[in-house]
Order: sequence, then structure tokens, then C-alpha cells
Amino acid sequence: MTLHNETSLASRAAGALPAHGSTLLQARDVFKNYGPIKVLKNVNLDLAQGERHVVIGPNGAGKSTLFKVLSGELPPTSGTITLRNEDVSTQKGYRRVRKGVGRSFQVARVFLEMTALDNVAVSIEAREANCGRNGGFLALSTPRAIIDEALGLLSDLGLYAVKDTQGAVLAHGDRKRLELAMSLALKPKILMLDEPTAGMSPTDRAAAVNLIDRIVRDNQLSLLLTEHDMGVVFQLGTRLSVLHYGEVVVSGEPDVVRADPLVREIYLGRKSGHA
Amino acid sequence: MSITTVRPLSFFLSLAALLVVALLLPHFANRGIIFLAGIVAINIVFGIAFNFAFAKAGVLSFGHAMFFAVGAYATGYMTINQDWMPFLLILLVAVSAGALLAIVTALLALRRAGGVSFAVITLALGALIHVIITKTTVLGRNDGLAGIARPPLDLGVVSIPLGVGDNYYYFLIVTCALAVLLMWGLWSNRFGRSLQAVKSDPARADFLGIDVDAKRLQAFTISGTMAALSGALFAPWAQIVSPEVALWTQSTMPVLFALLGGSAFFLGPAVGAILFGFLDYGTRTMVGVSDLLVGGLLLAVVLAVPGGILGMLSTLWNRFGGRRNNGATPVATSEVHQ
Repeated sequence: MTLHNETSLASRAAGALPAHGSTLLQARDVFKNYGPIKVLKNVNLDLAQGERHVVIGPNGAGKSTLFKVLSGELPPTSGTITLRNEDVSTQKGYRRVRKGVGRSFQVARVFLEMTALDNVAVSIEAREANCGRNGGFLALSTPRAIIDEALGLLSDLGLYAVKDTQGAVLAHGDRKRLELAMSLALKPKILMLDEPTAGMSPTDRAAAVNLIDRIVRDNQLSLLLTEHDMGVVFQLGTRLSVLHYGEVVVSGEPDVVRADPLVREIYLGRKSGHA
Repeated sequence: MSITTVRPLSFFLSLAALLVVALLLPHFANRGIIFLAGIVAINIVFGIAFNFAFAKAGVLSFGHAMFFAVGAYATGYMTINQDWMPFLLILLVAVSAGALLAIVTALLALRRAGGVSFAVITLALGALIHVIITKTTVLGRNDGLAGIARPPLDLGVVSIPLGVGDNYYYFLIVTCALAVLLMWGLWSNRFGRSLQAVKSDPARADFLGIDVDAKRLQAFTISGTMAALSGALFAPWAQIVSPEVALWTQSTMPVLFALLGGSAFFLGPAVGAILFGFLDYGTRTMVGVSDLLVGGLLLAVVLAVPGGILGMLSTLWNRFGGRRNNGATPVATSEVHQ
């Protein structure tokens, strides 16, 4: 089958990798098995400084597993993950976060019983502790500077009005934005978003894309995201990688990937004439 | 209610009120009530210690009696056999033994199992400690240690004979108050908030850069250490330590205190321990039915008021003219008692 011609896939996927020197996050020859099931097969992927790299693929392609392996939620079965040229393959998520990774989950995870303000303030406190700044340990209340920073983030993401609302009762879109605020509170270099617009209405999706676009630009972040919605993909991505049956089959600039016959075949079937 | 803004007034008022009542008690109460008050104070520390790991970090233990027993037996043994040791050093060694046991338990089990699995492991370890105690000759085997003295408290410039009058009682009350104050500080500050994040959503906490395993270990160690302190204070107070203090029934006590008073509140176990003390005292003459009565009452309270006494009061306060909660769910799950 054309799709599984390994030589051609490897050359397609690897041919467009960026120069090594600018790479922040790198996956090399990554395999991930769940028991006998091979979910990721020889995945190679790079995220360069300032890049917006989107991983796309049909359901079951392995996007979420790749995301988990890259972020440290799951260890790879084999292969290497490097973060700023440091091998972090065996490091857990919290250690990668301390090296500048912020991530969101497909289903937004916030602290449900805490208010929106507390969620962000606790995130900033965690960042301060991660940086070894333990001033205020004896203080009971969160320092005013941290509260002000948290309020600033909430305002920036349009959440000020719900600052005193518990995470459990926030609307879906607000919870997604709150999770984004918590990630930004860590001042990451790399922002990893797992289907950030999943479950949103078209209006909310458009607003979310604009928000992500602005935040990434303003904070000079490198972005790695998985996404289903092609509108979002082409609006946000400066580089796309197509995952299919656990393999990166195409990687390159959006126009190149869009025009690739293999991608058309994956998304529309072999007989289709246009994507 | 915000957890980042701590208003300590109501906590300090509650603690001060308890302290005043406890310190004045010897002036108008008989020996039996004073002894019971000492036990309640010890139980308050024991209950809050258990709840620190359970409610704040989500680490459930069914074997906290082992820490209590280690503290009690270590103090009893050293007081009887190592009478050259200053009492504060004895307490320090006993508490350190509890801390060490907590660290070993956490390292053995906490990284491998969570939730109920971990609780069952602690139950098994507690049973093992009980068996070891009953087989150890220097610990008195099934008879335990009797005749434990209350040694003098040597503070360098002054030595207080704790065996005289109510001196040990006052020492006990002040030490318990300091222990409660210390745990409240840890519960309320940034460390406490990070524990709450770990309990609330470990995966999210992990991706805030919080080492979830380390936080759970720290919470469990603090909890075990304080439980050992309560045991260490118990030995000279009761002047006898028997293997029952290591039995699983002893491990159920702090669970009951927390559920009765309200585990979501820092002072919940204290309220539970005080109420339990009243129940214990009120049913002391009902031989044969007292356990049944106490058990039935506890069951009724836990079933009728799942959030405990303070949870119920908090709900009533929110419903009738108190502060409004912006969320649809009760705030009690996260509230720091202030």
C-alpha cells in the first residue's frame, strides 16, 4: 500500500526538518507501544524557535499519544526526546515544565473547586517555587504581586468577570481559556495545546484562534498543537506534520502539505480528486 | 471562598477559646474530666495529622495507629529505660521515629499505589507493627509498658517537674496547641495550596511543574510525624502503653474525627474529637451498650451530614444570609477554615 511505503514516508517526513541549531523540542525515532499495539512508529518531529507546528491526522492516528510522549505524560517505548538539546526522554512532565514547557489537555483540566483567580495564582506560585524563589513561604496569603499578575492574565484572556467563579461551573470555553491562562502563568517557551478548540462553537472557535494567535505572538512562544479543524490548522500553523497510523507521513509548510496527494488520500480516500 | 487570601482571625479565636477552656479546666473539673480533656487534646492533634494527608493531599491512610504507637512506645521505652535523656530529646527521638516510619512507608508504597490501594497497604503495615510490638520483649509484648513516668522538662535555665500536680497537663495542652498552629500554617500557606493542587488534579499539578510524588511524600511524612507526636504525648499522660494503640481500631479514630467534624475543614477533626470526647464521657457508665450507642450516633451523623458538623454549619451559613458562593457546588471541598 502506498501509505506504508516506509522509504518514501521517511524521506517525505524527514526531508523538511528544520536546522538542528534552532530546534527547541525534538523527537527522534520515537516508538510507543500499548502492550502489543504499536501506537507510534519511528516518529521524528522538530519544533523550532518561534515555529507554530501543528500535528494533524485522522482519529486514532496517535496524535494524543504523541502529545503525551512529547510532554512527558508518557515515556516513549524507545527513541529520544530532547528539549533544548537535553535528553528528557525519561523525565516526567513536571521536569519538562520546569525547562519551559506549558501544556493544555484535550479536555481542559483546571482545579475545579478553586476560583479562576486561585487557579492562576496557584500556577504562578508553582512557577515561583520551580524557579527556586521561595520567598513568602511563611506568608499565609498569596503575595499581592502574584494576585495582581494573576488578575492581569485573567483580564488579558477575557476572564476577569469570572475571576471569583469556581472552575467546576465555568463554561466550556472559559475553562479552556483558564487552562491557557494557567499555562501562560508558567511563562513557558513552548506552548503545547491538545485540540484547543475541541467542542467549541464556530464563534468561540474563531475567538479562540485569534486569542492563541495573539498570545503566541505577544509572548514570542513556540507552539505545538494537535487539531482536527482544518480552518484552525491553516490559520495557526506555520508547519504541519501529518500523523497516520502512528507514523509522520508528511511534514512541511502548510501549502506543501495541503497539496500533498498522500494527505488528500488520507483525509478523502484514494479515489478522491481534491482535498 | 478564595484559598489565596487567608483570614486567620476566626482560626485564632477558635484556638484561643479552646486553649482558655483547656487551661482553666483544672480549676473546676475533677481528675477524670481533666484526664479526658488531655486525651481529647491528643486526639485533636492525631485527627488533624491524619486529615492533613487525607484532605489536603488526597493521601488516605488506614494505618495511622502505627505512627501513634511508634511515638507512644518510643517515649515509654526511653522514659523507663533511658532516664538520663532529657524529656525534649525523648520527644524529638520519638517524633523522628514516626517521621522515619512515614518516609519508609511512603517510599515503599506511595509511588506504587494510590487511593484505596495505598490505604490497604498502610492497614497491612499497621497490622505488622502491631504484631512486632506484641512479639517484642523490651516493649512488654502483650502487656505493653506500664509505670511510665512524667520526667522533668529541662529548659536549661529552669526545670519544670511534669510529674507534679497538673504540670504535665499544661505542657500537653500547650504542645498540642503549638502542633495545631504549625499544621494550620502548613495547611494554609503556599505549600498547602500546592498540596491542594495535587489532590484536586494530579495531572494538572504535574504540568504546573509540581512534583506530585514528592508533595504526597512530604504531606504523608508531616502527617505521620504529627501522629507520632500525639502518641509521644499520650504515653506519659496515660502512664501506660498497650498494644491496643497499634491496633486497626486506633487507626479508625482519626478517620471518625475527620468525618464527624468535617474533613474539608482544618478544624473539622478537632470538632470531631471534642464531640467524640463528649460521647465517650456521656456513655461511660453504659457498660455493654456504650460502643453500640457511640457507633450508632457516629453512623447517623456521617450518613445524615456527609460534610460533617462544620460542613453542615457552612451550608447553613451560605444558605441563610451568609456569604454567597459563586459556584453551584459546595465550597467546603476546598475551604480553609479561617
